[in-house]
Amino acid sequence: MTDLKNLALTASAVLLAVLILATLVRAVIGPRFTDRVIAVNMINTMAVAIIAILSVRLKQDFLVDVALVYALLSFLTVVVMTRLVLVRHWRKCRKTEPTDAKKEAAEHAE
Amino acid sequence: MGILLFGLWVLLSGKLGFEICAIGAIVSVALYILACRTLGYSLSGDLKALKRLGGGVCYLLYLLKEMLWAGLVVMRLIYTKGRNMEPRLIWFHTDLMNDSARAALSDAITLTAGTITVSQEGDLLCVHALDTSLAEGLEHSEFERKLRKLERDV
Amino acid sequence: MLNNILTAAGLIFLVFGVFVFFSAVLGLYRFDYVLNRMHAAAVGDALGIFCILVGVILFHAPTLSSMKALLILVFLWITSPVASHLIAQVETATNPNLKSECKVEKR
Repeated sequence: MTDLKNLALTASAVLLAVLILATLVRAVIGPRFTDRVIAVNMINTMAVAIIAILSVRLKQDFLVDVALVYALLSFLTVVVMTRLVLVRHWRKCRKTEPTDAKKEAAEHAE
Repeated sequence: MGILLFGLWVLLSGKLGFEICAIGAIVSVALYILACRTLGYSLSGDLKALKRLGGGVCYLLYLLKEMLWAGLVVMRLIYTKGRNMEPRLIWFHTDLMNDSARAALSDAITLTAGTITVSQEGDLLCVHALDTSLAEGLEHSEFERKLRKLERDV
Repeated sequence: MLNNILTAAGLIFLVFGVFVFFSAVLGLYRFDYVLNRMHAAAVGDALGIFCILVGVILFHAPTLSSMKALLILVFLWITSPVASHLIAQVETATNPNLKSECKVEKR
């Protein structure tokens, strides 16, 4: 049973690594900026899964904490990137067409 | 809230012992007092929230079931439909009054795969749906009914 | 005995989770617009991480670290809708030809 478990854990970790590579290709060829953000978000989710699997495979409990902190950081990455792009977009709009930008800003203000 | 903080402390410290419990109790009480001062939590508000615990747990279980089911549906769509989707952007009104209830509704909509809340102004929600079949029962959904019941209990 | 049952259930969840992630990545390639691809990513965020972390929880079942894995799960479920909402907002704000990609309806 333990042999089978170890084999399955290793195999799933390797498969997830291959899937991360595939998602990385998507991030490289993605035509738009948001495509890349989505791919990076997905890669982070899969990395959390891999770290959780490794914590079972290597019998190291602290790796679960590492996964928790990684999840925190990945959320922060996405928030900072999208906020940056939105603020720059609003600023550009305001420079070109002030009324339109104001309307749009009011639309997106929460 | 204080009990939750204490649980988090014990969970993150990794082992149970008298010392850890004592320090954790002191720290969580101090944090709770700080939260009451600055963030607007209060003991009476927490007790009121405790009364809605049963309904809240029921709602969360329903959300879990719905989420897993929606995930399976979207997986089937990935394999069967591929490129010929009919994505929709839908504006609709919700009749929830409370701001937190509206936030919970849009959270639930986003968490079920296949529908994503794009923006929300007042009681107007903008939702992107992957396919027309997923956009059918969007307004007057089960989530909204359950949340309205929770809202009325306040 | 109980340990064996837990391990078997965990293995089933793990394999299913890897399958869910595989189909999410496949959806990332098969869909053609950004907003559609986001739904595939949401499947991986919600269902895939649920299956894999439930597997991990069942593997180290009676210890405190399984509770920590549950904490990761709750945390990811709180944050992933916020992240996808922000991405959707950026996409609708910056995409110039949104109208051709999906129909807009008012109810």
